[in-house]
Amino acid sequence: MSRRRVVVTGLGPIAPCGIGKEAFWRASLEARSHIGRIRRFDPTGYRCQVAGQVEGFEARDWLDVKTRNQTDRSVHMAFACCEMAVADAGLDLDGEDATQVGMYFANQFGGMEFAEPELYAQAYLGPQRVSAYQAIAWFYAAAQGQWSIARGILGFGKTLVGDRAGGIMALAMGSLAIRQGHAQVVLAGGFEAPVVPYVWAIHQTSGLLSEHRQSPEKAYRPFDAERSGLVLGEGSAILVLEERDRALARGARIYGEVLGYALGQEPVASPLGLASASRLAATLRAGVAEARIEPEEIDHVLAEGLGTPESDGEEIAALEQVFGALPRRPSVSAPKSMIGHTLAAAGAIDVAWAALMLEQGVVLPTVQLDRPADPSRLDFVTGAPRDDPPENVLCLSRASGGGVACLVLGRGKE
Amino acid sequence: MSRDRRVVVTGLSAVSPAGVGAEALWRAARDGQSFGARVSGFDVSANRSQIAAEVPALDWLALGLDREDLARLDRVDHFSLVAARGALLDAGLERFEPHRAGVVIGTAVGGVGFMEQEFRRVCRRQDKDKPSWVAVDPVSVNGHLYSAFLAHSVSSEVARRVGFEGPCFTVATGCTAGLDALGAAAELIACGLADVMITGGADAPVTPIVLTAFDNINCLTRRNDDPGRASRPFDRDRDGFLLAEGCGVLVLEEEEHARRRGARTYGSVLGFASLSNAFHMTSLPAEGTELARTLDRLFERSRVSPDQVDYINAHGSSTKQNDRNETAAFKLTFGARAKRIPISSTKSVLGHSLGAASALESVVCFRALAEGMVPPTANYENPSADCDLDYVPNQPREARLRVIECNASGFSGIHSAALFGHPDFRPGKRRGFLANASGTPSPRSSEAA
Repeated sequence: MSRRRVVVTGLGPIAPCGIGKEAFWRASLEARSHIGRIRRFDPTGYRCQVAGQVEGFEARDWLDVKTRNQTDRSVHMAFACCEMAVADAGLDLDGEDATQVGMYFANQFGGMEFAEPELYAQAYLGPQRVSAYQAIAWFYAAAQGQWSIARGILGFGKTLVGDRAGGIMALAMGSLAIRQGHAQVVLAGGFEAPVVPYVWAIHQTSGLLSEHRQSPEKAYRPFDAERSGLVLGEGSAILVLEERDRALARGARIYGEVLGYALGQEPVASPLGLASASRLAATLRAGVAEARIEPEEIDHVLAEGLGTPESDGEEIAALEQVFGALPRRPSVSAPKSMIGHTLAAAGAIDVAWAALMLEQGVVLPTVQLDRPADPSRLDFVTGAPRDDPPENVLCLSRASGGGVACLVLGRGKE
Repeated sequence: MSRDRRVVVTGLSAVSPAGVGAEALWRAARDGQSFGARVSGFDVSANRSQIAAEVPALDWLALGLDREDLARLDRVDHFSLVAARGALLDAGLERFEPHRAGVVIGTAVGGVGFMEQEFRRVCRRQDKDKPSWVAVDPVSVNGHLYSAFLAHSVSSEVARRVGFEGPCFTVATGCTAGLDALGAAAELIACGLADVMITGGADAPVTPIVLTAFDNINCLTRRNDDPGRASRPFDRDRDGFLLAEGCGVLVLEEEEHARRRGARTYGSVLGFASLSNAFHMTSLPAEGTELARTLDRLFERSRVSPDQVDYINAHGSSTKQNDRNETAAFKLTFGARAKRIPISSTKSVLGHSLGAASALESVVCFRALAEGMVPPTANYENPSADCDLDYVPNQPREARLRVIECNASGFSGIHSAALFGHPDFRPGKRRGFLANASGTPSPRSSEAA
C-alpha cells in the first residue's frame, strides 16, 4: 500500500516584508532589506541593535480582547497566520470533522514578551503580583491551545522546540501526522517575536549575532564577503497541510507536495556547535532520497545563510558536496536576507516562499550579496528575482547542538 | 520498508524524587511512598502553595556529568543526560547505526531555572511598579544562557553526548509532553525514519516563576502542613497538584533490530493517539467526553480492544477537575468494565512533574508489566462522590498484566494516550497503529455501561 501523500493548500505568512500572502510576496519580489534599527525597545548597549520588525500588525484585527490579554505578540501572529492560511486554503472549518484537523507548531522560547514583566514582578514585587495568565501565556503550546479553542479544533495538536530548525521540523512532523493517520488536515509552521529586551540579550549569547558596523540594511548579508553575522527578525508562517486525495477531491488549489524530509544530528563539540558540511550534506541527500527524486531534480535551494564565515562556509561546502559535480545544478538563495532570520518561523516562511515560487514560476534572490565570500560552483541568485520556474525546492535549516532539517516541496507526480 | 514495524522498549531509566534509576522509581511507586516537602531553594513564604516533590541532592559528577555541564546547562538537562545514559546502559545498546538513532524528549518549561536566575542578575529594578518593558544589562549576561534556556537542549544535549545522529527535537506540549514525545518517537520508528529512539520527558519546574504561575491559577495543593499526603488523586480531599520535578527515559527500538542483537525487551508500544478538547486553556469539563474520544481513537489506531486492558495508569493529577473528568471518560470508553479495571495514579507518589510526569509513568508501566504488579494510588483515604472506580488504594496488587493504557491531559486542552503491551502479548489482526482510524467501527467496550 502506498503511503499517504501530503500537499500544501494554504499559506498564512506574516513577516517584516508584509502581512498576508499577497503583501508578503509582492514585497519579496522587490528584493530589498527590511532590516532596521530596533524600535520596540531601546537597544543601546546590545551587541546587535537591528532586526527585521513587522509593521502594521494589529492583534485586535484577529483576536478578541480576552484572548489578546492572555497571549503575547508571537501567539497573536500565529493566530492571524492560522486564520489567513485557512482562508487561503478555502477551508470551511465548520464543515470539517474537527477531530481530523490538527496543528504542529514550533517556537523558540515561548511567549517571552508576556513573561518578561511577570519575571520582573516575581523578582521585585512578589508572587501575588504575577499575572494569572503567566501559566498559559508563556508556555510553548499556547498558540495551539488558543487557536483550537477559538475555532473548535479537536484534532491532533503538537508544538516542538527544535531551535532554528523548528519550523522545518514542525512541517515534517505535521506531514508525518497526516501520513500516520492522526489527521487529514494539519496547520503547521512557526511563530516568533524575539524583539524583547531580555530575549534579545539571550540571543546575544548564541554566538552568531552580527555587530553590524554598517547601516542596518547592510547588516545581514549571508554568503557575502562583507557579512558580519546573523540578524534576527520577527514573524510567523502557518501552512495548511492536507492529505492529497482529499485536497484533490475538494478541488483545492495545491501549491506543492511535501515530497520528503530528513532530520539529522551531529555530535558536535559544544551545545552551540553547528553540524559539519558532511553531516549537512548527508541530511540533504537523505531528504532528497526520501522525496524519491534525484539530486539533479532539485531546481532551487533555500539556504540557511547564518551569515558567519564558518557557518556559510560549511553550508556552501555541503551544497557543493551534494550538487557541485552535477551537470545541472540548482540555483541557491537565502531570501531571509530581506527580513532577518525568524528562528523557528524561518523554516515555515521558507516553505511558504517555496510554495509561492512554485506557483509563480520565479525564484527569489539573496539580497546584499554583492561579492561572494567563498569561491564555489553554486549558482547564487542575487539582486533580483529570476524567472526560472522551479519544480522542486529544497529548504534547509540548522539547529544549535548539531541539528539539521530539510524538506523538499515539489510539484509532485500525478 | 515493512508497513508493520513494531516498536519495543529495551531500556528504562529515571531521575525522580525517589533518586536515580528505574529501580528506585519502581520501588517507590509500588510501595506508595509519597514524596513532598517544603520548598527550600527559594523563598515561598508569599506563595499559597509552598511544597513540592523534588529530586534529592545528587552527586552529579559521580553520575557522569562534568563541571562544564554543571556550569553551562540547566538542571533539566542534567536530568535528561543522566537518565538517557542510564536507559542506554540498561538497553545494552553498544553498536548502532548513528543516523538511524534519534532523540525526542518532552518538556513543559525546559531550562527555565537557569533563565530565571540569570534574569534576576541582569534585570534592573525600575521606578515603575510593573514595567511593560524590562531593562536588562546585555553585557554581563551569562554566555551559556542561550543553550541553557533552549528547550531543544533537553534532547540535543543527549544526542550530542551519546552520538545519536538521527531525528532530534524537543516536544513542548506542557503536561502531556512526555507521552507526546514517546508517541512521536514510536512513530518515527514505525514509519521507518529511525530504528532506535531515546525518548521520555524531563522537567525542573520548581522555580519561583513556575510555582507562582501555577499557584496563581489555583491548581496547586495548599496542604503545606502535610506535604507527604498532599498529592491524593481521586480522594475526596484532593485540592490541587503537587509540583514536582524529574525525568523518565525509555529506549525504543524496532522489534527486529532489538531481536537481532538479542536485547531484553520490557514490552511494546501498541498505539498512541492525541486529540484536543477545544474547551479551555486550563479547565476540564466534568463529562469526560473529549478524553473518551481520545481513548476511542487510541483503540481505533491499535490492534487492541478496550476489553484487553488490564490496568490503567491514569493522569490522576489530584485536581478536582482532572480526576472527575478522567473517571467519567473511563466510564464512557470502558463501559461497565471501568469499575473492574485497576486504575492508579503514580502522581500520588511522585507529584506532578509536568512534561516529565507521563514519561516517568510510562517507565513505571513497563516495570509493572515485568513485575506483574499494579502500583497503588497513595494517600487514598476517602472516596469521592465523583470518583467511584477502583483506584488501587495504597497497596500494590499482583496481577497478570498484558496491556496497560496510560494517558495524560494538559493545558491547551491536550489529551494524549498510549497502549503498552507485555513482551508475550501479541496484538490481533486488526489494523496496526500505522493505520488510519476512519471507517473503523466503534472500539468501545463490548459491555454496556
